[in-house]
Amino acid sequence: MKKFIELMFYVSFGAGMAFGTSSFTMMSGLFEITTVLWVVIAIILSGGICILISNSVAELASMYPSSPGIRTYLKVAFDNRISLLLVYLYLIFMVLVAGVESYMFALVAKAIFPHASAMLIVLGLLAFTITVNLLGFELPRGLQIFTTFLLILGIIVLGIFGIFHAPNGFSTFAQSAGENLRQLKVLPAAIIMAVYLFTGFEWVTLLGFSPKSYERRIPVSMPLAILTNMFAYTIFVVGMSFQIPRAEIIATPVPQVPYFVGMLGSSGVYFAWAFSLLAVFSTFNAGIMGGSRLIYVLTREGNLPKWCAKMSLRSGAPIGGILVLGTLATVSSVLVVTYELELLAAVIGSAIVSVVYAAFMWAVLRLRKAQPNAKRSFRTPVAVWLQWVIIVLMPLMGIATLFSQVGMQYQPIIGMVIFTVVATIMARWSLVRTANQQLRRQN
Amino acid sequence: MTKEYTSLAECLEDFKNTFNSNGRVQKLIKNWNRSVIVDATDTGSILTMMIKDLAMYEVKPGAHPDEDYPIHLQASQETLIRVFSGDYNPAHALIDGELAVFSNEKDKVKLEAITMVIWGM
Repeated sequence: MKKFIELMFYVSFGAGMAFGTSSFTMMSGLFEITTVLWVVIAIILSGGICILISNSVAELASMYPSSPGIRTYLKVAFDNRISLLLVYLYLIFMVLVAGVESYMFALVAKAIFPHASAMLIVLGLLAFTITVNLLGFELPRGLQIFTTFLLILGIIVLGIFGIFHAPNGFSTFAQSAGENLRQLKVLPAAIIMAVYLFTGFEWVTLLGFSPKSYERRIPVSMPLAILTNMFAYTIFVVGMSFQIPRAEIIATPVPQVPYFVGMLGSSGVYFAWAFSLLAVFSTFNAGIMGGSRLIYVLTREGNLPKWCAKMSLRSGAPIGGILVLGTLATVSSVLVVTYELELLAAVIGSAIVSVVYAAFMWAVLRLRKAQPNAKRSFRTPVAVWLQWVIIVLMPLMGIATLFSQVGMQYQPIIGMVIFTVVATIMARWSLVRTANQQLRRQN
Repeated sequence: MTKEYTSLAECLEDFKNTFNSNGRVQKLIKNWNRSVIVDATDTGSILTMMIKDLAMYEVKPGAHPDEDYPIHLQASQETLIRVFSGDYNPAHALIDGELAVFSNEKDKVKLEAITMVIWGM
């Protein structure tokens, strides 16, 4: 029983980290480039790829259990410069997600309070989350399992309700199947966009209770979390497409609001808000905490100024990291709200993650060559040739996604280039810092 | 210059003295009664540091968990000796993948703080 609860905690954490309010925004983005049948295919294929990647992450975690995940895996497998570049890109991704998540929460809240200012709601949410984290409050394990369970069960129930209470639903689905060949060419972009829906499952590797956890429970928990979300997303997008026209889904970054209102009447907006609140618990709060711990780790290595590692000895909260990430998240949120950049930020985020996930898989293959006898309590069963296919295809598809957005022209690729340059400069700066520190120690 | 230790037990006994003689550590471990399992993966040597009432009162051979999921440190014997003799920053050892620490976040922070107080790392 104890092992089962432990497994449930890992699954709920992984699924909860991935399922945010901005997941609905990405669903709207998927409908913008393709039809419902292909949205479903993209979600299933994307989930499948993430499951294969999760096996690689599990192998890395079994080699370096309890380590600070991405930083350690990429540091031991690659050159420190590449590792730092990818870690900073991943941090940028987290900051972008924070901006999108908070704005989407505000838009759902505005459906209830139409005269409220989106900016004030966003700033209020950020202030609340940062304060909670600074005080070191953590969601108890039982509550974590319960809130994620409620969120996913609710989405599945409302999705099924939408499917079976739509008079013309199946004919709409059949119509979308008629455009198959035309939609096939946007499938790679849709798959990468859908990766956003699963991102975050890998954070569970930091939480293993004991060495034994990394042998089976953590490796099994990641595919289970991905499958759970894959099922929930699929049911939800089908239900949504049965209830409201594609044009209406595309027209809003919070399509769950018109979906629930259309299906349940005016009370539907309260369901949308309740789901956003649950998502804030599972994704937003845990994301701020995870990101701030990553900043803490980078600082302890000497990559960032010492004050970034300031910590509360009473609560254990990484105060410096929370303030840095909180400030960056606030800047990101203000920009997203002001210029309505939610889909652009989410698409760039997906492209970043596709590169990082490919790097995880490559790290496994490099370490198998470099350290063939190192202890691995779990080995990915994915064939090496298939791993190479994913390593090559994921970044290529990520770049293709940047060019596939309707009405965005070159904004995604320009954004990606800017963030890559920022991450490169940060990595270079960190390397110079640590080299200087080493010189000072030697003198 | 780090002292040469012939065994992990000898190193942890020395660490126990350093730990107990530091007044600032005692402030940090107020109400912190825990057992810390130290597990050398290459030699199979396992010891438990018993901490209670503001002091480490014993380094016991074997694993003696005080709860379902105790604090558990795992590394090669050489790494553990370097960590407990102040030669290797445990935060760096963790990032380098040389050391594994299984515990809740609050206990991890406590261990970090103890390191900082004893060796200023």
